[in-house]
This record gives sequence, structure tokens and C-alpha cells, in this order.
Amino acid sequence: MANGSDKAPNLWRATRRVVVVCVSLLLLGIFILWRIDNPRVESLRMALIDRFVPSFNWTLNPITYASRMASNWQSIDGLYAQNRELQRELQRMKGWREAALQLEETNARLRALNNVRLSPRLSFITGEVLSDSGSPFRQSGLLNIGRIDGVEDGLAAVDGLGLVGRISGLGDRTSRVILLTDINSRVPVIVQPGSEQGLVSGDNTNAPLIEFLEDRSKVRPGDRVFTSGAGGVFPADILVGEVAVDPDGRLRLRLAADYRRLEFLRVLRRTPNQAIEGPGDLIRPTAPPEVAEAPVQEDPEE
Amino acid sequence: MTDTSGMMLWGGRALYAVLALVCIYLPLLPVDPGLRGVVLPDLFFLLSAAWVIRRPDTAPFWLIAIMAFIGDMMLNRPPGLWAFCLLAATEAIRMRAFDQHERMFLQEWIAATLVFGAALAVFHLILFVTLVPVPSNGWTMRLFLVTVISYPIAVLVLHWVVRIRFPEPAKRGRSFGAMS
Repeated sequence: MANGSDKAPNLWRATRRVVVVCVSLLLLGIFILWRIDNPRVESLRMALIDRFVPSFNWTLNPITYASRMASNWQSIDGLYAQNRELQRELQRMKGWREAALQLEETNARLRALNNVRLSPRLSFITGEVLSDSGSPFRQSGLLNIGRIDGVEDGLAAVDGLGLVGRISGLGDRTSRVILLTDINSRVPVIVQPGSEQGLVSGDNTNAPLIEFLEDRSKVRPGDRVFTSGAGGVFPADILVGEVAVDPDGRLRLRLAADYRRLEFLRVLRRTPNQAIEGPGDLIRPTAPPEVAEAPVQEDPEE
Repeated sequence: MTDTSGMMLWGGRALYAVLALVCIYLPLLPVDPGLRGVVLPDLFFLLSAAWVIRRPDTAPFWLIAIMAFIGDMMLNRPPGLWAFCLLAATEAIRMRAFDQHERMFLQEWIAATLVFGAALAVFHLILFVTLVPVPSNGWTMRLFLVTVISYPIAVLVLHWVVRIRFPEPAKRGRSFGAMS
């Protein structure tokens, strides 16, 4: 440089170098802090996102609209074939509807015979997916409902078809859903029929792995997978998907939820089950004490 | 420094900041979540690298650090680490920036490739050492390839659309003086 021999620029460059090193150390320090005290930094991150992402919402609308328009445009050429397909399907559905109505009738009759008490319905809050960041570290989405809407950490999020993920990270107005495909996601499931307990663990692919089955031979591709409710985080019996086998022979889960079109999610509020306290007691006749004692005193006299 | 050039300097910095925010914001958009398999190039690195080679004065290191840190927070990366790697990478590029414009584009491209590869390697090494779950190697390779391939596109966009070019020979001395 032309004025490299001057003293002032040299001094400036030296201080600049020091500042660069300091900033680097600061950044590394933040990383180490994150590694040590994860929850605090994550809550800071959540607060930042809570603050900024909703304010970008107005930019989202036209873009979402445009992308939806584009995808609609693509589907126009397939419309005729789709129409035919739908008509055929409708025909088939009518048959099913008939069957379902009959089944419902039988069901109602049997219920009446049985005097069944149904479990209290799950209540839910519906939120809109603001954005989803498919970073390699987290497969997650942001919802526009948060703590003031009654969302809590750990609640299950479903779309109309099946389980999508779990709330992890909460702001006042936003919350983050960790998808089942995320590398940190582990959900206890049960495979029906056969009632095999297992664990669905995400590995950043579209089809998470099914692991820790007791007896693999009982599980076949196409079996339906539900949450088992073990561990008490999720309610039981939410549809998750069906079993599939990948080319390596490992069991994977074909998700029931439509991950390509996550627009609205339901967050299921937890309704705590009535706990069963203590083991069963001896069953005995409940006689008044004085009546029970009277024969004991009379016995020796006879 | 005269008033107009001061305005130009801060204007350039503001432009860089806005573009950096756009780069951070683009991957957040729910354009088509079905495209999860597709790896986007690291837009922020492309922007910063191409910019630092051309106009080191309007992309000062502190601005790069702040923007990269915001990106880390927004995109759910481990906070601070990728920002650190990016800062080191752009500093490495900046050191070569003095004589860079005398050379061919191919050399600039190779330099950016090497620096990006090194940054990714350091990033992964630190993640590995601190036992953070690391994205799969296939993903990283794809990110590397996609980013390297799209570098010329980023340079073209910067050159023709945003009009960030090498300073003309007459102005060079002054702009580099302002930078260092």
C-alpha cells in the first residue's frame, strides 16, 4: 500500500487486528455458552424470533400467495385426469359411506348395550405456520400461537391427518414445532395390529426410523403406527403413519401428516388423565363394625 | 473524506446490510416445504465473499459479524460458530483483496472455493469436538458444491444488478485507504 509506511495507518491496522480477534473470541464464547447453558441461549433466540418474525409477516403473504398460484398453475394441466380419478374415487367412496353408516349404526347399538364411557375429547388450538426453516440442525416450523394462547412446551401438534411434531420453544405469540423428521425427535409409538411398542426417531429424512421394536417379525410394511402415550408427553392413539421398509432393510415410517403442505396445525391441549392411586385393595363386604364384631364375641360361648 | 464519499460509504454499508438480511430471510420462506431435499447455497457467504473482494470498505468486519450472528440466530444454527467461521473466511479473502482485482476471475473463484471449504471444515471440526450433532456428510458436500457452483452467479448479480464492481484504478488508492 502507498501509505503503508506511515505510522498512523499501521497503528490503525494493529488495533483493527486486535478488534477482529476480540470479536472472533466473543463469537466463539457465545457458541461455548450455548453449548454449556443451552436453555438460556435458546430462550434468547426464541425471544428474538418472537420479536422479529411476526413483523415480517406482511412479506410472507404475497410470497405464499404467489407460490401457491404457481403450484396451482402446474396442476391445471393435470386437471382433467384428476377429475376422472376423482369421479372414480367418489364412486368408490359412496360404497364406503354406505358401509360406514351401517357400521355407525351397529356401533351405536353396541355402545348402548355396553354403557361405554368415552374418554373426554381432546381440546385443541389451531395455529398458522409462519415459516419453516429446514436447516440441517432442526426441522421445525414456527406457529403464530404462543404462551398467551395457552400453548405449553411438549404439546402434540397435528394436522388433519396425523401427528406432525411437538412444541419445543415458546414465545408469547409464537411457538416452535419440532417436526418428527428432526434429528432430536423421539416419539414412543405402538404399531397396530400386533401392539408392538417402538420409538420413532427422526434423522432429517422425510421418513423417520422406527427403532427399539420388541419383535420385528410381527411388524409388516403397511401396518399403522399410533402414539403409545408412554412417557406421558403425548396423548395415546394419535395416528402417526404407516410402516415402510427402506432399501437397507430398516423400518421407516411413512408419515400420515402432509409435510409438504403444513399450513394450519392443531396443538392438542393436555387433559391430564385421572391417575389411579395405589394398588387394588382386598375386596370385602362393607359391614358396619359393631355387627362384624358381635359374632366374634359369641363364637367361644357356642 | 468529503461528505459525498461519506454518504457513499454508509450507503454501501446499508445496502450490504439489507442484502444480507434478504439472504438470511430467503431460506425462512415457506415457498415449498416439499423441497426439503434441495440444498440452498449459503447465500450469505456468497454475498459477503464477492462483496469483500470488490468493495472491502463497504463491508466492514463488524457488520459481517453482526449479520452472520443474526443469521445464526434466525436459521437455528449453533449461535456464533458459523459467524466466527464466516468472519475468519472473509478476513482471509480481505487480505488477498488488494491484488485480487489484477487477476483473473478463475483465481478469485478458486480462492473463494478454498476459503469456503476451510470454513466448513473448521465448522464441522468444532461441532465434532463439542459433541453437537453434525449434519450428514452428504448434506455438507452438497452445500459445498452448490455454493461453489453458484459463486459466479452471485458475482454476476452483484456486478450487473447491484452494481458492486472493482473500484476504478483512479479511486483505488482512496477506497483502500478508507478500508484499512
